[in-house]
Amino acid sequence: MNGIYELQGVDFMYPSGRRKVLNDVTLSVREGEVLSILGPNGAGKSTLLNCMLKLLKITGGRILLRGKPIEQCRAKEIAAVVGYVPQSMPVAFPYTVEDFVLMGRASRVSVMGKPTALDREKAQEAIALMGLERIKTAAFTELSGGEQQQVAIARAIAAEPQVILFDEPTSHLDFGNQLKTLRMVKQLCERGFAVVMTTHNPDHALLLGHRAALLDREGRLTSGPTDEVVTEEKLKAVYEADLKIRFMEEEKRRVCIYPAL
Amino acid sequence: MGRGNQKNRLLLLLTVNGVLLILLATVVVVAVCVGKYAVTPAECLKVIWGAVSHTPSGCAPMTENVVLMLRLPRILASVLVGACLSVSGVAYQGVFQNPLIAPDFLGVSSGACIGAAVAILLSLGRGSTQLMAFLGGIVAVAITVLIPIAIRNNTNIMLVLSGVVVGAAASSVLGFIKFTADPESQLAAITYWTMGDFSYIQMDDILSVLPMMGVAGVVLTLNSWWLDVLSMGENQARSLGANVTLLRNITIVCATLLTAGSVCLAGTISWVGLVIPHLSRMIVGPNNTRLIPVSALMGGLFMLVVDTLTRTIGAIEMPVSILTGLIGAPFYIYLLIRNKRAGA
Repeated sequence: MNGIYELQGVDFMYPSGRRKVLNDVTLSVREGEVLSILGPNGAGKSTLLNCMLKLLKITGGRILLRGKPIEQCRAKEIAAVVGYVPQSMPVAFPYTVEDFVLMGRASRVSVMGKPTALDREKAQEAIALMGLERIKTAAFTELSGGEQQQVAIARAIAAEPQVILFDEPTSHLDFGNQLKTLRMVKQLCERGFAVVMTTHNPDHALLLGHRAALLDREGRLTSGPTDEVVTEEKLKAVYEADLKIRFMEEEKRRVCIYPAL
Repeated sequence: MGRGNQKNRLLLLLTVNGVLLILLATVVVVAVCVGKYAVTPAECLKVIWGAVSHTPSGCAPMTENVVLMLRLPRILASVLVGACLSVSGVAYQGVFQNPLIAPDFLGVSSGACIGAAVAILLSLGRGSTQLMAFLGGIVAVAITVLIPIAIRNNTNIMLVLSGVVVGAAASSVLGFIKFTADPESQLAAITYWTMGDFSYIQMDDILSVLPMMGVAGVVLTLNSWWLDVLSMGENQARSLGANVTLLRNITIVCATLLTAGSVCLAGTISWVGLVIPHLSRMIVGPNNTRLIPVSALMGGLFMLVVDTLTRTIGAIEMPVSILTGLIGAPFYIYLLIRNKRAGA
């Protein structure tokens, strides 16, 4: 069992903040698995991802990436292992989809250097894998939210990472597109990428299976196999609502539903 | 299909650069010929060829003097300044992910102006004035960059705000200097500097700033792909694996050298660094590897046309910033309107 990430007793507090956003968080991410991080709004799911990307500096504990403390990893080393699909991508200039995906190769380009023919090839492969050839010369800024997300996934794939972090990939999408994104996550996992995804919908964690983690408002995190973590009792405590979990015969899966109003 | 597409784009790029080069060459010849002392295109080419090949050109000495000592240095300077301001505009806009800013940010121009004004106030020579302008620019940038670090909020927005503050403070200082200047001689000289001026530029002045501009321009060109990555914003660039701090510092230093060098040569000329990057982006798109050469050519061409107009359309010469402002300000409003429509 090879760990990509090992988080040990991680604390995080914003410099101006009064409470710990992450409180003694211990978590591991293993090769080829999907980890859904659940939690109510403002619980610090994005903060956790940002700490894992070293975009934020943890205030306690340690994060090991492939066994190496993350504060000793350069941005390049992290990017070679970890792909990142942010929640929103404010882009100031209308780069084409091709140019945008090519930037995924940055961890392999030297300062003062330019992407090589191999980098271009890998970018084209990622575009093909995501089925984006049709729009590859279009401006990123003119795409729909769903398309932008797919382009961002292609950019993450182009980096040939071991794990891809998704920050709330379904939050801005309608039902149909949410399902597409979840299928995409499953396919990425089948291709051998580990996936870490934050979501506030417990049903998404149930759909994806594998492992889940629950982050509560005090910044404490519980993780384990999805069936053990996503339970009525635990969801009630975290979301402060009477969510029900039932086995649905028709779909042969556990579902999470709202109680009657 | 992908290959063909790439080939087409390369062809388009070569065409754009080729057309701009031919246009620039044509305007250079026109600019040599027009003015109070008229020179024919044939004489112009003869004199230039004579100077290059070190053979007698067979033209009148007066013609040779006007072409070689007056017009060519001036033309070279305006092309150089236009190119440098445009490329530094491209760099600043990329690094701050903001298409609506220009080299006038970071307080470079105003800082350089203070340096020049102090030199004029102390009645120093032209060389010292340039040096002071350069130092003023560098000091202003240093202050602008240090404020966000000092208050531990080293973000792009803070940097831009800090630049605005430094620029405002610099304007006040400049106002004070003007207030204390001798209205008979010094005030006019300072005012002229703040409005940009290409007259009296000599070959030596150009050669003194050329190495600095050259190095900065080459470094920015080499790093053009990284400028794309930087323009994704700090977090995205960092998560893509970019050494953001290093790349951002390199870019800001180079862009500042280009701006300070331009101010040394010709005073402050506003708007070029904003308008030209935009026009160039409309032609070749935002990819900085294509954008930098095109905006350098466009900037040189634009500045040369404007400078030639200022010295030919009126009975007396007009400061260039008056024309660039007349063109730039409405263009900025147009950009704001367009941005509002595209954004949100």
